[in-house]
Amino acid sequence: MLNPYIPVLILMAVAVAVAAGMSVATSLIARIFRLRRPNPIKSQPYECGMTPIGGARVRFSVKFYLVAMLFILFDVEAIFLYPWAVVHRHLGWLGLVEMGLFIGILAAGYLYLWKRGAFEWD
Amino acid sequence: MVDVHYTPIIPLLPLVSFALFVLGASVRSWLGKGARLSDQVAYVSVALMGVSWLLALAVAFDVLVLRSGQPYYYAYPWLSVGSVLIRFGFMVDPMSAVMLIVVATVAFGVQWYSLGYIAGDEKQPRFFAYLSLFSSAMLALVVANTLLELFFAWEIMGLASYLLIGFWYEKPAAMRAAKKAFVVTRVGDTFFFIGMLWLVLQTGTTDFANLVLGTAHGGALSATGENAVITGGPYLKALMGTTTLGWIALLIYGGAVGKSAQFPLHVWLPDAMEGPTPVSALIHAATMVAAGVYLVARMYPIFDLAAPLTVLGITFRPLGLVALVGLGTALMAAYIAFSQSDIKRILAYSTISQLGFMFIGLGCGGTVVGENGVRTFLAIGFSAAMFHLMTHAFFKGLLFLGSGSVIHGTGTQDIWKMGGLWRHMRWTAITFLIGYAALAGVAPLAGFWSKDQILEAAWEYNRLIFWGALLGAGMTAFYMTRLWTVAFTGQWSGGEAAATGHQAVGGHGQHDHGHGGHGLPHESPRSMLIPLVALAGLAAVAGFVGLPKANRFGEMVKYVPPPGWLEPAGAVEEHALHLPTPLRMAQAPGGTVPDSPAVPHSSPAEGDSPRPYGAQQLAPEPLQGGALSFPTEEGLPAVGGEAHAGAAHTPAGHHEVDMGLVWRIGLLSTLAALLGILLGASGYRGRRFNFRAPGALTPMESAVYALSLNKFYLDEIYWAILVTPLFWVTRTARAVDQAIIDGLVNGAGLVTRGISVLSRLVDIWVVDGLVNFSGWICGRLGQGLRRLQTGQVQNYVLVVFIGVLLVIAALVPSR
Amino acid sequence: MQITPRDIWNISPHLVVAALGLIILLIDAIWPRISKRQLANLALLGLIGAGALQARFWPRGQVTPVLGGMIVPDGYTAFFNLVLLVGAGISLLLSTDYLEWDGSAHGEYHALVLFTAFGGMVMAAAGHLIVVFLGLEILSISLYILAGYQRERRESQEAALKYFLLGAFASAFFLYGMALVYGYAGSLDLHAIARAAGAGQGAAANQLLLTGIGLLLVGFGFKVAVVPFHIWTPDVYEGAPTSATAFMSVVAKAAGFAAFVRVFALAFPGADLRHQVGAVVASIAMLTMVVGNTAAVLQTNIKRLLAYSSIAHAGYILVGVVAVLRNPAAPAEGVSAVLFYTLAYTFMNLGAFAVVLALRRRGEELLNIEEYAGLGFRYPWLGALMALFMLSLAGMPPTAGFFAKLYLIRAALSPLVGMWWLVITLALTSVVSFYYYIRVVTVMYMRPAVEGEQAPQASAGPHLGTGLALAALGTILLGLIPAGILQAAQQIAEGLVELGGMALR
Repeated sequence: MLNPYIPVLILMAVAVAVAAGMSVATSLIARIFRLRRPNPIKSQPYECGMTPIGGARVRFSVKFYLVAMLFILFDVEAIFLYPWAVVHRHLGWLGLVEMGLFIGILAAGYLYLWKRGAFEWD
Repeated sequence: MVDVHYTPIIPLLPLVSFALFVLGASVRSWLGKGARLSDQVAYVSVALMGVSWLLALAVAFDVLVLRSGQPYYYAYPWLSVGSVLIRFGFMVDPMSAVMLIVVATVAFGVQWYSLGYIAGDEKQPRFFAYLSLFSSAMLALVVANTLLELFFAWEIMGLASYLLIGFWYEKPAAMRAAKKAFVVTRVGDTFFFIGMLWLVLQTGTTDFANLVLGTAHGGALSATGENAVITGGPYLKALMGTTTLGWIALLIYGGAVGKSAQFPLHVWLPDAMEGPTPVSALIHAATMVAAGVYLVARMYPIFDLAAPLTVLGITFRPLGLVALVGLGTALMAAYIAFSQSDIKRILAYSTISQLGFMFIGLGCGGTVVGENGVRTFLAIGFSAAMFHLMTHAFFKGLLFLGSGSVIHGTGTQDIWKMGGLWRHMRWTAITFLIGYAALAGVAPLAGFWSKDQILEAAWEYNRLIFWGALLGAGMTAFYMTRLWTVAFTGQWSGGEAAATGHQAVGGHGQHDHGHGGHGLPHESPRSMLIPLVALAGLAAVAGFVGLPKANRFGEMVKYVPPPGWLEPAGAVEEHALHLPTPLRMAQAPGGTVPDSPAVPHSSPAEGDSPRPYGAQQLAPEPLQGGALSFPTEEGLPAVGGEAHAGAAHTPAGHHEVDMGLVWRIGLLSTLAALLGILLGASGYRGRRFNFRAPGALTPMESAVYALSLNKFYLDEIYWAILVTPLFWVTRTARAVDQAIIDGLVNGAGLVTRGISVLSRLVDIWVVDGLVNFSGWICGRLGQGLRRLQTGQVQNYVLVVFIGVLLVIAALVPSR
Repeated sequence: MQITPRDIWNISPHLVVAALGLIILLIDAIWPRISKRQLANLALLGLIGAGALQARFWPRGQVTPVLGGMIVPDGYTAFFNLVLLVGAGISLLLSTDYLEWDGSAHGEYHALVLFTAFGGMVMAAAGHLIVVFLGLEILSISLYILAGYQRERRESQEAALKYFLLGAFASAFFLYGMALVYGYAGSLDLHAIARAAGAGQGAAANQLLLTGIGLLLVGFGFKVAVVPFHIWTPDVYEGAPTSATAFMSVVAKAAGFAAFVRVFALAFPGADLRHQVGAVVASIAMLTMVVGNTAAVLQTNIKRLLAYSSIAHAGYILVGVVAVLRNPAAPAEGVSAVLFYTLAYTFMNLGAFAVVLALRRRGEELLNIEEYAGLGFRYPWLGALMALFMLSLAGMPPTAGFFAKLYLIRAALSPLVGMWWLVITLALTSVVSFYYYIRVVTVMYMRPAVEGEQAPQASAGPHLGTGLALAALGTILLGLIPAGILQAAQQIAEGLVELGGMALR
């Protein structure tokens, strides 16, 4: 059953082996031939640009998440309108009513969020 | 005129008084006056029970005398289980009628007695509420018309018993005892439940009129007015002679073992003595524990008409097992009773022992297959057991109430702290003496007649059981004499005050009567003595209904195998078609069954072939006041048919009384009783036997004595092999999240950490610099996994995942 | 596909519940000051309305699927929808007082209860695996929120998070199982799967199909809490608000079993296949009964006790599922046993929780079993009812629990099922269960009551009182006169089996 895939598997194994071998080989070669002259500037994560201040683990306000989540919700559901628009002639009135229902439910959610103050920053 | 149609009211009245208690308490609590009712309410309960008692007597009289044994039956459709219609109703046949008399009488007596006994107790109304609930359930059990209804009453009875045992919940021992009683009897009930279901699956009915009732000549119960007997009912026909029936019988017997405290489930009964003494008298001596015997008697045809069973190469008839277990229980309990010092415990073990006697009686009845395959019917065992049940209820109820009076009067339960009560409590002593003599089997008191019948049954069935039972009878006389001699004769030894620091028993003193410090014992109030006297009268004369020559009892309450069951092999030809195949095979072991053509008198319309499961339903329309209407369908043929009614070989014929045998057995049992009494009296007169004193016994003897004192260590054994493992399993199950899963996660973490360490090594030594990144990932992973050990959700995920793997592995065949 | 007014009529109970949920959400958002009690009343009214609409389908319903086979408005659907509506209704009655006392009465609670019920109803009616999944997710997500409803309590948050993580995990397996079944059958319609699995040679040996079935089993098993997918139950039941625990313990179980039994009874008709799946389900059932009952013995917290007891009951119901799978001659017996058990369980479990919800001690919930000492005398009604529910859960006659078990055992005892050891396990574990149920009764009736400051207080408002009364009534009536419901369950089960037969033709 799986026979046709066995060559692929072999190919994959070969690819992994080559990749791994090359990386190992290059690092080995580099280790043999490279010069070793470290200095503080060289050891920085970025050798150019601004000097980093503080750590990367900063707390963001949870409000950002809320807004991001709401955006994704409504965004994704808006995307649903596109395929509907493509075939809406084919779907006819029934399609229109159904989409109306869909938007209605979305609108209810929107209204709820609005009234609950989810869109206000403070 | 009060007649059988009043039957439904009998269990209803105590239920009404129970409901009154609950409602009253609720209303008071609602009004904010505290839930406790006034003591006067108890009179309502007693009055209702009294009316119920009168009705029970009237109904029993009607069935037994006026209708001369023709049963009362009334039912209406209740529910259907699959294609099986179960009808809710009432049935009083002679056996139920006898039980009605016993139960109602003892229940009424005990309620009356409790008026004096429990007076002044803070929880008095509650006590009567529980008593009423119990009485109602027990009466309902007796008049139930189906096995399911009986089971209902059985369970409610268990619940009421649980509440009553734990009535003095301030004592931890009482609480433990209540729980133990409930759970231990539940073990038996579970078997009963499964057996019942199996029976329904096999026969399609639980109705007694279909299963176990009929007329003596095998006709279906109908309006002919014939005396009803316990026999194989029409719906049982297809199962007769099968091992299935035997297994069902054993499962149902499991319920009886639990309720009637047979070995190995007897351990709850002695502990149940922590309950108030009237409760012990009512529930744990006279009625509830006898319900198991009643159940086996009720379902007797199922036990008797089964094929012998084979387990581990041993073949036995179900009833033989019943008899053996009964004998073992009787002897063991009597032996334990030798060494107990608590008066109620002695009586409790005596009860267990006597219940064993009843089961011996049941087990020694029925049909026995001889060497040549011929079935012999032993008639006496069945009615002997029921007879003993009745007499035992009276004299044991009496003894318990008497012991209650003693405890009330002395403030102790330890017989060694009593003594000389004969002088101080004359009425109690006289009635107690009657009860003791009846139990010991002194002629002509009740116990003598019934015990002799059981011995006679045992003689006919198996001599070994007979000698064992005779030994048991002698032991009974011995331990009762010991109790009598120590407690009632000699000098008053001072009650609780005599031995301070004996707290195990002393706890009762505060409850069993209102006042603590005792001087001399005193007689109990009259309200307690009247029931004692009444029961003493019954204990004295109840035996006369079952005299060997004029056995009125045995004529009314009897079991008769269905016609055709006892036919010798040669006669099978005639009736072959009436019996399903397995039965025919069992009847003619030589394989002589001829393939006979249709027998002339069986028309095809009768439909004699074994019925497919559930094919026949009961008529759905309700029967109106149908004392005469029975649920058996007209299409159902009577086993054997009318042609047999006049056949010469009828097992319904009177049991031939061999007076010579009766005399011999009577003599033997009297001898055994006398021996026991003499031994006991001489041994305990002046308290000569005192095995509790150090150095009184040789090591060998004290080992034997310890066996009795410690009740064969059965509680300890159960604790070790049942309870401890259960708790172990429980703890393990609970510890699974904590220990095993953690271990698993730890293991996984360890492996991963190992990998990460390894890869770090690889990093450092092989690919420094460039591959640092992968090392960092592995480190993070290791850290993450290490963090798993503290978190719980992750463990859970792991469990779910392992579960998934297991399910897949179990489902998908490996190839 | 055409949608006709008839289709709309057929799913009208669903629509009513869903729409009402939205309406309540909006009303509460627009007029935040509205009395929450009124909202609860509105929700109850809606549930009763939906019940009335649903009752029109009782007991046989309509066997032809609507909406292109997605929804089957048959008697089976009607039964489970009514169970869910009753469960949601009683839960709402129980919650009102509790939430007011807790200070967390918001309109969202009622809306979420309605959404959960809607999800469950969709699951019960589904004739297509996608619809099952939809219903499952609607139900689950609402329940996650309900579990974390008391935001201020850390335990509640923890419960929600655990439930959510594990639920998502299980949903993923369920989805994967669906995909595999699709790979085998080429469709997710239950009838189409049945045709493929019934006609296909050696369906019982097909690894793709079997793996798919196994994963579906995991998904359902998680929702109804069977071992080893029960692991979330004790923590979540303990952590969630008590009213939500009561609700989820009955509704999630009913909905889970509704879809479980329908899918497994209809979609996999081959006798070999059913035999094989039945064996695995039987092992799970056995494990569940043993673990649930033994672990419950040592619990001291009443919510955890009821959690383990609910696991045990899931095990019992699974025995009915085994009877459905392994008795090709009469699968209806198993189905009707499951139906009856679910209804009985709804009443008795909600009743037990109702008593818990009615009790307080010094401003705290009364959760430690030891604290119930003397309750039977202090509050005779509450005590008696609690005893009733405990005994019913244990299976004592004459209560609903007894007949429920009777039916299950009867279905499983059929010689065709051939699983006597399962029945023995059921019987023995029931004996164990008596031990811990009776312990509650013992504490209530055989311990002296605590007086004064420490004494428990009962506060049952009209809503809670009504809910308690309804639960008690159901428990008693199903125990005394079960005939009507039993016959209906029988008919409905036969309808479902007929439906399965029709699919193959």
